[in-house]
Order: sequence, then C-alpha cells, then structure tokens
Amino acid sequence: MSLRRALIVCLSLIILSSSFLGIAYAEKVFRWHGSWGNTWDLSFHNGFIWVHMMGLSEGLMKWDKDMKLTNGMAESYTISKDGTVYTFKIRKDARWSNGDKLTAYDFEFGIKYILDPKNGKGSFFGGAWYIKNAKAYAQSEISDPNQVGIKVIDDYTLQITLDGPHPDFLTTCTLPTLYPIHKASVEKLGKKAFEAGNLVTNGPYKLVAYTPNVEYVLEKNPYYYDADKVEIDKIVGKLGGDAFLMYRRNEVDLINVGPAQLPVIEKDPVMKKELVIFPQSTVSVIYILAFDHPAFDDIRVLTALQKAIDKERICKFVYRGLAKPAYSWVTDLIPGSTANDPEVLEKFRYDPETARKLLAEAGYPGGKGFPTIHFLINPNQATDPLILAVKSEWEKNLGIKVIIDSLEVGVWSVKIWQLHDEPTMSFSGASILYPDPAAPLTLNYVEGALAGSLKRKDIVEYVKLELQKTEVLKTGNTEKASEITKKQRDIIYRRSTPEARKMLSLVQQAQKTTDPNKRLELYRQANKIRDLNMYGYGWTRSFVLLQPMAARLVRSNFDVPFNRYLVGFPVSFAYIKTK
Amino acid sequence: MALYIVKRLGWIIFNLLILSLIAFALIKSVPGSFLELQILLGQAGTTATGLTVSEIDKIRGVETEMMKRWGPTVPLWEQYVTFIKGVVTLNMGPSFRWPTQTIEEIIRKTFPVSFTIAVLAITIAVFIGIPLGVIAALKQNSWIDYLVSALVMIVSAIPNYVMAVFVIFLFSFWIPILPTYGWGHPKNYILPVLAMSFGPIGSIAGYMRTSLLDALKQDYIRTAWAKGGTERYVIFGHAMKNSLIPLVTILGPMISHLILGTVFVEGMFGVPGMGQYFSQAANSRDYPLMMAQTVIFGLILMVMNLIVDIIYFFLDPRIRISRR
Repeated sequence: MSLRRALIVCLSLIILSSSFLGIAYAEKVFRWHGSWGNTWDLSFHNGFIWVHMMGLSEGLMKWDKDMKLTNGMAESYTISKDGTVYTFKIRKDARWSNGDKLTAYDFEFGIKYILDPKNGKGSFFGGAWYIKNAKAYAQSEISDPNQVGIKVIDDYTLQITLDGPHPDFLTTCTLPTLYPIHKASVEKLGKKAFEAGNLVTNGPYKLVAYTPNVEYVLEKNPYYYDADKVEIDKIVGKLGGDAFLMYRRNEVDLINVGPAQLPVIEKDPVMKKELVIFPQSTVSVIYILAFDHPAFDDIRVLTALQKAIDKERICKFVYRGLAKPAYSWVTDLIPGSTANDPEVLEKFRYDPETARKLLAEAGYPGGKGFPTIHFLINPNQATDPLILAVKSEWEKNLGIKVIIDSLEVGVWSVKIWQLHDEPTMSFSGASILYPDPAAPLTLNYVEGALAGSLKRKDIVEYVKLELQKTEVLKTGNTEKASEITKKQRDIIYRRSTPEARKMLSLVQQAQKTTDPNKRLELYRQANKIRDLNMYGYGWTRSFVLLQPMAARLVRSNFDVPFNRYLVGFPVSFAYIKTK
Repeated sequence: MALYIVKRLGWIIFNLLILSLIAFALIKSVPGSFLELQILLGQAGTTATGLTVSEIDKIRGVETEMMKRWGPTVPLWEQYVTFIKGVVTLNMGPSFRWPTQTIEEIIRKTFPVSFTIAVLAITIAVFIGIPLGVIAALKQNSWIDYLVSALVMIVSAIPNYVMAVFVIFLFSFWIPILPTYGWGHPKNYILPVLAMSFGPIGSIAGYMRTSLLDALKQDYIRTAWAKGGTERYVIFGHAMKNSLIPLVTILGPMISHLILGTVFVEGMFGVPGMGQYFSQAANSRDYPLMMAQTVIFGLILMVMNLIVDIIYFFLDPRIRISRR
C-alpha cells in the first residue's frame, strides 16, 4: 500500500468515526433572546438576577414546574410556633459548580453580601427585609452585620429570625435576594468573582461565557444534585439583534413578541402555531402625576375617564386579542385578587354615555373647559400602541384633548417626579413577583394607595417637600431629610381618605394573622377597596388598564414551562425539555 | 518634523482638557441620575420594587462605594480633578453600569473590536470606492458616469442601520449563507463590515471622481499629454497620484467616526464594540463612562488628524517646502 493510499484510508476512518460520535451524542442547545442585564453580581438589581433564578443559582426553596413551592437547597425546615424563627437543614449533597461543598455559611455570606450597603444598590430586596435588623443594616442604621437575624448553627443548619411572622417568607426564599454566594471566590477575587469564568454557582447551570451586549452561555453544572434530570446541555442567551429576524432564521428558539409583530405572525401558518400565549401578573397602569387642578379631585371626572376607555376594543384590535382587559390592580393569578368580583367589574366598565354624563355633571359638558392632558413617555414606551389608543378613546368619547410628550429617558425619569402646571400623566407596568396575597400589598403598595387617595393640593405639598428633600440630601444633611420624610408621612397617613386608611388597617391585621384562610380574606378585602377606589402607587391616582398576555414564540422542538408570575420567563431552565 | 509633532501633541493635550471640561459641565447639567434610572427602570416589576417611600429616599441619598467619586455630596471641581487624575494614571475606576469592569478594561476589550471593524470597512470602501470614482471620472458624462454617480448618491444617503437590515435580508434570507447575529467566527465579521462600508464607498467614490476630474484639467497634465505620454502614464502616473491627496484628509475622520459611531450596526449584529457601551452610558447616566467616551472620541479624532497631516507631509512636496 502506498503512503498516499494509507493516508486516505486513515483520513476516511477519522471522518467516519467522528460522524458516528456525532450521531451518538448531539448536544442539546436552547437559545433564547432577552435584551437585559449588565452584571452577574447578585447585589445589583438588574435583569441577570432572573437568569440566576432560572438556572444559575438556587435558594433554600424553589418552584417546581407547576409553580408549587418545593425544597431547593433546603432538605427540610422547621418554623417556630410564633412564626418568626426558621431553621433550615441544608442538603448534604449540595455542591457548587466548582465541586466545593455548599454550607450554611454560604447562605449567611450571600444574604449579608446583598444587604451590605457597600455593595450594589438593588432596589429590590424581597424577603430579605423580613429578616430581623436586615433593613437597618442595609440602610446603614446599624453597621454590625452580626446583628442581622441570620445564624449558622453548624455546616448544614441555618437559622433565620424574622422581625415578625411573615407567612410568605418561605415563598420569598425562591427569590435572588436570599441566594447563597460562594464565599471563597468573593473573598479572593472581590467583584471579579462575578465575571464569567470566575462565577461559582449552585444551580443546575453554570456560566461559561459572557460577552456584554452580545450573549451569554450557560452549561450544565455536573455537581448539581439533580443534574441527571436536567435535559438541556447548553443555554445561550442572545442580548441584541433583531429578535424577530433571528427567530425566522432559526438562530433563536424563544423570543418575546410585541403587538407590532402580531399581524405578521397571524398571516404565517407555521409561526401562528408556534405562538405561545399565557397570562402574567403585569398590569399596565396610567399614573396621574403631581399637579394642581380641581377637576382631578372630582370622583366623577376620574370615573368618567375610566369609563370612557373601551378596554375590550383595545385588547381586541390593538393587541389582536392577546391581552385581557383589567379592572383590578392584582390579576387573578395571585391569591386574594378581586379581579373577578362583579362589583369591581361593574364599577369601571366601558360606558361612554355615563362617562359623558358624569363629565357634564362635573362642569365639563362635551369636554368643554376641560384642561388638556399631557402624557409623558420615554423612548422605550414610544412603540407601545396603548397610549395612542387611550388618547383616541378620550378624544372621541369625551371630547377632551390629549398630548403625548416623548422625552429622553433620563429627562423623563426626573420629570415624572416633578410638579407640573398642566394635568400630566404617565404610564408603566406593575408586576407582582410571587404568588402570595401579601406580595401586592406590601407596605410600599399600601403607602402608595394612601398617597393615591390624597387631594391634589396635598399631593402638590407632598411633592414640594420631596423636591426640597432632594436638595437637602445633596448637602448631606440626613437629619433634615428625615424630618421632611416625617412630614411627608404625616400627609400620607393623616390626610388620606377613610377607605384608604381602612385598607391599611386590614393589611396590618393580615400581617399578624397566621390562619391562612383569615389572612387571605383580609387581603381580599384590602384588594377590593383598592380596586373600587383605584388608588395608585406613589402620589398618583391610577387607572388600571390592561392585563397583557405575554406572547412568546417557541420553536416546536422545545417544551418550555413558563413562570406566570415572573413577567413571563421560563420557571427554570432545568425544566425545559426537548419534544 | 519632530518638533512639529511634539507641538501638535501638546495641542492635543490642551484640547482634550478643554473638551473634557466642557463635556463634564454638560454631562453634569443634564437631568437624571444613574440611581434614579435604576430604580425606575430596574427591569421586571419596576413598580414592584418592594420599597416604601422613605426607603426609596434612603437609596437616593446613599451611594454605593463605587459611586462616591461622583456623588452629589462631592464638590464638582473635585469630581473633575479625580477624573483627570484617573485618565492620567489610567485608573478611572469602575463604570456604574458595568460594575465589575473598570473603564480601562472596557476600553481595552472593546477598542480592538471597533478598530478592526472600522479599518476593514474602510479598506473595502477604498478598494471599491476608488476604482468606481476613477471610472466615473474617465467616462465623464457617459451612462457609466451617471450610473456610478446615482449609486454613490444612494449608498451615501442610506444610513448604515438601514443598510444593516438590507444586508441581513440579502445574505441571510434571500441567499441564506450568513448568520444574522453573533460573534467569534470570521463569518460574523462580513455583514457588519459590509453594512458599514457602504457609506464610505459612496463618499470615497464621489471624492475620487471630483478630485480626478479636477486634476485632469491641470496644466501639468496638458504638458504630460504634449510630451507624448500614453494614457496610462498620464492618468495613473500623474493625475491619480495627485488626486489621492484630498482623499487622505477624509479617511482619518472617517475611521474615527466608524470606530465610535456604529451603535446600531453593533446592536444589530452583536458586535462587542465600543459604540453600544457608550450609547448605553449616556442613556443610563453612567458618568465615568460618558466622560471617558468623550475624551476617547476626541483623542481618536485628533490623533487621526495628526496622522493624516503627517502622511500629507510626505505625499505633497509643496507642504514640505512651505514648512521650511
């Protein structure tokens, strides 16, 4: 055999064997499109904390595929009789992605790291703030982290003491604020420990590559206790590009589609079949900002504005039937919601006749003499057809004038908190992050509802104090600032309407109630008061508008379970299966 | 020559100082802050932040360690001096938006990418644009000239992000041979480079045509013809050489604009370059990155101009003589 012939035989053998290997094991890769996130540091509240939640990290508890709470890193737990002390047993087979053993110390380190005011400034703390002294530590009121109610009993036993009974604490253990962080790597590398290549995680996946603005790549974590149940080997998250074009070219398996793409999808028989629609907890809300005009103290005017919006029509035509009208703040996905309460449904039902009549009674027949309404929107909202639809409904049904002011995002972020000369509104989405009746009625929401019930002149006073405080904080005079905050709280708590204060007392009662049925009923009543009076968040009154159904395209070869409460991300990458 | 370069470098430093001072004043007077935007647009569930009114205040009032340099309690002059110190000592600190990376790291990682893409795009533009311009000039007022001029007009009028969509349709859908998105494979360079080179092709061809036409009317060309020179000798030996000089002047600024001004193309194709970082910096009020970006853009532009002038010095003997 000549040398040449031998070479050819060798080469073909190599090619043959490699192709057989290829058949024997094809890597299962799931690629999806999401355009957010800039650091993997859990102490920063940015989009990547949800990637942590979906597969990089795992808390003491986790969600199963059907959104039921199950044990995660905790093998078992006990709760003290008064509901304030939680003792978790960490599973013995828990490992980090580098093979290290995961202990209770990592949880202590992680939670304290996130609370530490020196670290990233998350605006979201979830259940971490239920922990005794956690809030004080996070806000620099105390400097000793040992005062925070987290205690390591031994390597596998963690004791957490809360500042009161919070029946939803276990649920919040699924959220990123209560995740463990690999102590050794952070102590060694500092912030660099959160970069791809250095990041050590405890979930079903590990981060193997990350190019900012381009993509990240996760691979199966072989040390995960349930690794053999994780089906997909690799997850690729694309962070840019035109999602729709990429989907059509089969470069991604999952994208988020908006109303603009729906007509195209409807015409395409293949894509139409691939469209997955599911409910989520977000509602689009219009906020009335701070300005002084007597018309907006008049309940008749506010009711007329609500009743003049044909939400059914907007859902049907603007959102092509993919959104659902909402008449309540909290969707029926959350226990304790009054979304289907007939009284709530009736109160703000579309009725242009009554709306015009109410407006006329208030002194503005046919919209005559009614001030022009301004909408402040940022560039991210410019493509949302919702505001245009509302504008046309109001102009058509009430004869009032609406102007849309599109602002640069930074300018917008300042303007929405300022005082305005003319009636001004903005819009935003409100999402509930976990399915517990307490989630939509935390203290911030209740304060928001109280503020939302204030009269216009009180709101103006409140905002003036706010602006004054911003100036004071620039000088570093925190004493003066907290004095102003006290005045603001006075306004909110003393001048709000009796219904709003009743809502507050219901929530306060519910927080102390451990009986689940009683607690649920109290929260339900509080929700109903809010829905019937439409108290907003902050110092605004709000209009609940639409409950958009998340629309996702999923390539038919994957089975992706969605988390209904988390604005539509998959519950966990670990549950994705190939069909 | 050496003295000239040293003088110019001195001016560059002086200009950068003025530039950074103006930029600093402007950036600081724009409303909005990083924290405010983080709170408001903090991703999923913006209003479900779980904070009460007084808690939000606390967050507004207290900066994280990394923001102390730029916080409202630090006097403005001190912030500026810290920044300049950072530039000089190459220690500009972390970016707000990318807290695990320092500004230097971001630049070190992204500059080579942007630079490569820009140089590739310009190279393509030169190799296509110059012949197009020459053909148009030599066949002046013929249908070829009109065709080239029309094409030049069209490609220089269409912005590169529209071109980006066009090349995606062309090479990913009609002739499906290239991926629309991604980085790391040589294939990934083709579409962004192509999308970015169309504009420069237009301007280079346009410049070349005018400048060659101009040169062909000069006296020395007539002399060359009179001496019995062949067409090849006259056009490529005399006219071309001289008409390339004005082209050099536009290439410098062109490259510096391509390095930084490619936000859309980068976002569209997933190119990890500087443009996206910088546009996001402005949108999220990432002061350190915004400042660094302004200085770098100024620096690139001025250095490119310096290089152009040096090349000019060697290309055009008249400049050398006038300097002496």
